[in-house]
Amino acid sequence: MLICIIIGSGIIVEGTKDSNNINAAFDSVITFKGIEDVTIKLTGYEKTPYGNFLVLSNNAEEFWVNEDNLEVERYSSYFNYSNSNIIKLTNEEAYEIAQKFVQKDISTNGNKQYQLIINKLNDGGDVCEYEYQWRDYTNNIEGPSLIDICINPSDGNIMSYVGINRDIIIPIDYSIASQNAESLAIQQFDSIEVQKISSYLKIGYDEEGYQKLFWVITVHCKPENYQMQGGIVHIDAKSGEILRIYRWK
Amino acid sequence: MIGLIGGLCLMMLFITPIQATQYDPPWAHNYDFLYDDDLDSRPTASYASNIQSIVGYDNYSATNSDAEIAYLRMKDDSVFFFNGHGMAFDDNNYGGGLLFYNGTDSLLLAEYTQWLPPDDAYFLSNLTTELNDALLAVYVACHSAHTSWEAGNLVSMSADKGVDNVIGFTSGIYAGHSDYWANRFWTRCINGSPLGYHQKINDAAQGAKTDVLIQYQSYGGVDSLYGLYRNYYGIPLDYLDPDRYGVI
Repeated sequence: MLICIIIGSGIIVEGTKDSNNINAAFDSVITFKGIEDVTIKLTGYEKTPYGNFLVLSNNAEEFWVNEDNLEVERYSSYFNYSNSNIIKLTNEEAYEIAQKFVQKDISTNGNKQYQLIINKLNDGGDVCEYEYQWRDYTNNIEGPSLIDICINPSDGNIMSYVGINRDIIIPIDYSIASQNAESLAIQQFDSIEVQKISSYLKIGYDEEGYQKLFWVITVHCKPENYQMQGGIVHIDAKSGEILRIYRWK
Repeated sequence: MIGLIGGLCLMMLFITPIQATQYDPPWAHNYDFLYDDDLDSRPTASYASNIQSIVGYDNYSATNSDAEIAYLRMKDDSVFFFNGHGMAFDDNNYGGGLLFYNGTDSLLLAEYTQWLPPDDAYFLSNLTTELNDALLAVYVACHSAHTSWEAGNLVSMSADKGVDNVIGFTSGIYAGHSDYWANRFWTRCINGSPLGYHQKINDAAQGAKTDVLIQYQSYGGVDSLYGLYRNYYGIPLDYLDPDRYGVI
């Protein structure tokens, strides 16, 4: 067994919970990669709404290991971006690779109902990718779980992967109707001419990492002074509080 | 004889390409905005500027600048960063330029077409070789990599004019997501944060895109990232550091 592990300075203390976590994180990466010859080091920590992560990496790959469940929930391989603008695979061929890679995520996530919501070739100029994204749905409410994978269209290698599996732990009842939420969203923008509006319910995380049920409303208004008008508004589905507004650029 | 020499000198004057000035350290200019529709992209310009400072660029950041100043400075820039509104037209066409604002609007556009622009508009297509030595241009704006019949395509025009690495977005992008993308991009360029290694410009752009998905739980349009990078047989070459101008 060949494992080359370099621990970042000042991070590990023998026998502590932290050191046990870090060692377990290295094991998770080895399991994820499916090979034992892995050269990586602990390079940092990330705090996100999905939880806290240990980040292990080398100069071509990064692995984000969730501190609580010790799963690799994000993987990026920068080496696998090469020549991705030479499209050799069909969407069907790339999808088969993606589906095989995430099959474990989908099949082991209990009773979650995953739907494929993104299935496209991103023409990113010199970096192109087939992207597939699944979300889980309960009573037409988008859940917190997420699977996103990007495949190199030239050789089928995995460019990036995100696999977040979370159970819904809050009630999914709400009191704000979609029409009311949309009306509130429109009021957040000065533009009087709304061209298109859409909304859906989502369970996501706030900045502190707590689940919340909210409306996601996308508002397209008529451009003014060469500016795209409107944006996306998050509204608490129980209280009607405006949680976030992100304007179009 | 004197007339002949004079004629040759005059001819040389006309055929010598216009060269941008190269400063030591190289210039980097960064722009963010608080628009009259409340779109607020601050303080991403100063954040980018601080990162560029660490690796040695002569960095500047400005909030609410006009397009003319940016256009004139851009000719001598190695690094150019804009974070604000892209172009949206009344006929629901998008792309081809950047909207500057300093109390009044002014435009930096890719090319002059049949569309009649307002007076305060400046065109990359009017430049000859001034951008040949630029290392990097980053346009964080809606549809900055999209082609409109009114004003062309900003990313491809920049690359055509010689910018080594150009980054934009083909679709609409949201303020929060794209501000976060910008900060993560610059950080990744020098630290790879949290990777621990500096990253190539294209890798930093891609890594920052996935950072957005994790932090915001959706892409918010930044998965329309579009980049043209100096490369060797498909392998992108450039890092932000060390401070330098691009390859002529």
